Amino acid sequence: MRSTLRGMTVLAICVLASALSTGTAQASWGGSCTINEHCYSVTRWVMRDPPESVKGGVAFITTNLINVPEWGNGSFVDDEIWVVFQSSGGWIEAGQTAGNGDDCCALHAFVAHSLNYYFRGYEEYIYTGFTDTPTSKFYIEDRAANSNWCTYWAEDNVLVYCLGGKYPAYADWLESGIEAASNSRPVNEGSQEVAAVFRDGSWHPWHGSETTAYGETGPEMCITPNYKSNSPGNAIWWIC
Amino acid sequence: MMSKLDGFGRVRLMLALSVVGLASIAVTQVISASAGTSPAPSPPVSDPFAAYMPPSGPELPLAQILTTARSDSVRAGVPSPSAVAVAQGSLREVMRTVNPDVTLPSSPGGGQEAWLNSTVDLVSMHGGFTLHDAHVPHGYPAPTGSVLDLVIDTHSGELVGRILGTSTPDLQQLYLVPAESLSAGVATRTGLILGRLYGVGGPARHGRRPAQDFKVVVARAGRGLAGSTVLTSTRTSVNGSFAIRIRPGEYLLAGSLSSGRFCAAQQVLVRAGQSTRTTLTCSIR
Repeated sequence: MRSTLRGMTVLAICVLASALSTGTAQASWGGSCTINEHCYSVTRWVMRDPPESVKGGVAFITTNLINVPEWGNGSFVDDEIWVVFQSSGGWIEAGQTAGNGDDCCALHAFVAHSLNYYFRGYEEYIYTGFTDTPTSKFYIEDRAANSNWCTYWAEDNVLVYCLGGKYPAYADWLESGIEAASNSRPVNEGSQEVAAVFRDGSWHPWHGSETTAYGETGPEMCITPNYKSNSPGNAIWWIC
Repeated sequence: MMSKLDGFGRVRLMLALSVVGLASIAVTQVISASAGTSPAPSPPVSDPFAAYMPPSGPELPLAQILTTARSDSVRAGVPSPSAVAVAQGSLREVMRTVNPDVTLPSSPGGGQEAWLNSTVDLVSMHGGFTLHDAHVPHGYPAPTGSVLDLVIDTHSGELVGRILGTSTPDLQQLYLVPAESLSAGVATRTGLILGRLYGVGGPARHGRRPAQDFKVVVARAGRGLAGSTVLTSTRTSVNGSFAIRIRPGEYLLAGSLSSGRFCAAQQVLVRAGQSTRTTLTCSIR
């Protein structure tokens, strides 16, 4: 009887400790990051001196850990790249995602973009039904410089999606990293190697980007230079 | 096995394996070169869609698709969307319908081909939507719009795509589910055509009589039978009767003679969960 009571006491303490630790974590995360207030760890290159612009962005994304406990309510975590057009505010993005009402932990590639006017309109496709590899490559480029922006995916540069006539031939804002939208703390950790596609088609580091520590929106999101591949724009990021 | 070989034996074995390997590579390259004239698209070597398996099994009930759509509408701030419409098509057709500015690989082959050919439902809804869970760049507000289109896999129920805009896509380009099929309590995908085919005329100038083992074909209404794609067909029984289960909509129905000629066509309206009765007649010379 005494041993039973002792066991129940230990169990109760464990449950209490677990509840407290979970509560603390969620309160900290929920303080500034929710499904409606997305949090980011990103490297961003906003080109400031016209006509500085590029005809594409490339990101090699490696996702080491990902888990979205509240996946059922539409919460998600992305590891991705955005190509943005400052003149219209439009953007195109591609990367890996988990959550989205589909699954906590399965990685899916996705593409998304704004529609034709600032802050309004949106289109996304998530490649459900099969999972992406932990390391994946995404290219968003207007290779012919004719306002036909295409997304290519994976080792072989597989063309998956093009959007014509909506955006200028050149983009002037590149961004890559984590986007997290969840009311409870998700798990995510990985890295990126990025390149800007110049007008002659050559690849270059993001020399003008804001790198180290940029994107720490609070204690929730972390980012550092990618020490394994230390070039401007490359980064390691995680949800702290 | 290796422990039983002396040093010289191991060298000979490795040499032999190398020769076999090189020969294998050479043969493969010759085969590849000779196959180079094939016009068929080949998937990339590292096809990221390779793991895609089209969902099998029956199509989900329309009611289940609508439940998924309404759940997403609630999440986008609209518990009771208006002007809900549903159409079905391949993912490729739907993607082009909802955004004509999108272009897709024409025949990519492999898993991507299967993915683009998968059957999806497009649910279009009106309301004041805000997609808080849209994937947007840092610093951007949640997108808003008055028309939310959801692309849902017909077999698995997974949400494949979302489009938030201001204009309704031209659902007539797809297989439009009649509005009455979406009402509460119906929401079923199919109706039944029950009919009987009679033959008249012929060498002995017979009167009307049941036409046994005749082919009955169904095509979409509005286009005429000539040149139309036959959606489905069946054969009549001994008393000339036939039954066809098909999605709701308007169809042309006709008997078909062995010569390929169609008998006089009848237009029928099929309602979800209901049966429609019709009588067809074939004039025989």
